[in-house]
Amino acid sequence: MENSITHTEHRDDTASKMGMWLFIFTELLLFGGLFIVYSVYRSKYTADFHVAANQLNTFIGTVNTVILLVSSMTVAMSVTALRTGNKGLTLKLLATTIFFAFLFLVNKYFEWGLKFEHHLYPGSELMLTLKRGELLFFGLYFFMTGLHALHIIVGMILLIVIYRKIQTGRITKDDNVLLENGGLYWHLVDLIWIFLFPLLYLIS
Amino acid sequence: MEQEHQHITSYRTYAIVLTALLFLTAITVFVTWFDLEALTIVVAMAIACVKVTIVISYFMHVKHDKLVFKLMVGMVFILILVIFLILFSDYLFR
Repeated sequence: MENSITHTEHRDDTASKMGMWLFIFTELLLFGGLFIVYSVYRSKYTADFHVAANQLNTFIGTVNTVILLVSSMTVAMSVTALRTGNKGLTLKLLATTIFFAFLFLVNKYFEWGLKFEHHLYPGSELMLTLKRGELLFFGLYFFMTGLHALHIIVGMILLIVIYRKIQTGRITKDDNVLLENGGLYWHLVDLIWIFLFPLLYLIS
Repeated sequence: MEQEHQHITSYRTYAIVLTALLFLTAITVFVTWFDLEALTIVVAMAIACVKVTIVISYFMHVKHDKLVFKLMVGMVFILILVIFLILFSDYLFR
């Protein structure tokens, strides 16, 4: 037809991925700053940090590490599934990832809940009677795992949005950069945990 | 519209990568059962660095990505390392 208008939408996948990476860098530097605070206080109060870390549940920490690693794989696989045109599998893998994210939060709930039951929470009377180094350890523990859990929640919402967009066909085999960026964010959450886990749970 | 070449990683590769990551996690936990004192944290951090490198290379596709992404990611980690070194050289020797 001579009157037809072909509308080509402008798209730059490299640029949008670069934007995602720049955002990830700011996140890395944010957590990097916290790791610096941790390192300095740890070198100053080594013994107190060991005593305090003894009270953390290594088992729950390990389970959550496994959960995050597996979910990282499923979200990475979902990109492969979409690129090979298997929409059904993409959705299943994404749903699995979201389920694992939820499972992580459930574990965190029980872990923190147990600490609260033992009157260990920021500002509690028990915390104020602790030695300075132990107080700093628990303060950092609640802040760092809390900030990390916040990222899990954000990642979960992001993945749910992406799930909907794949379902309704707004993310497709040929236009999948949003899924890829969502995946990158989820891997960032995993990266941070890879450092948090040994520093908080394994130093006793 | 320019069609970019997209590298597709196989499911098998991802499964192998996950196995490696789980294996390294097991080692990190296993090592803490022995009392290596100061060495514990060194081993834990070394393994964490290996794990992070694997996640970035394979899960985050940097291995098969454009050079510009490799350079960007590399520079950020060098930046973080430099910040740590400068801070600790100041903190420990003042």
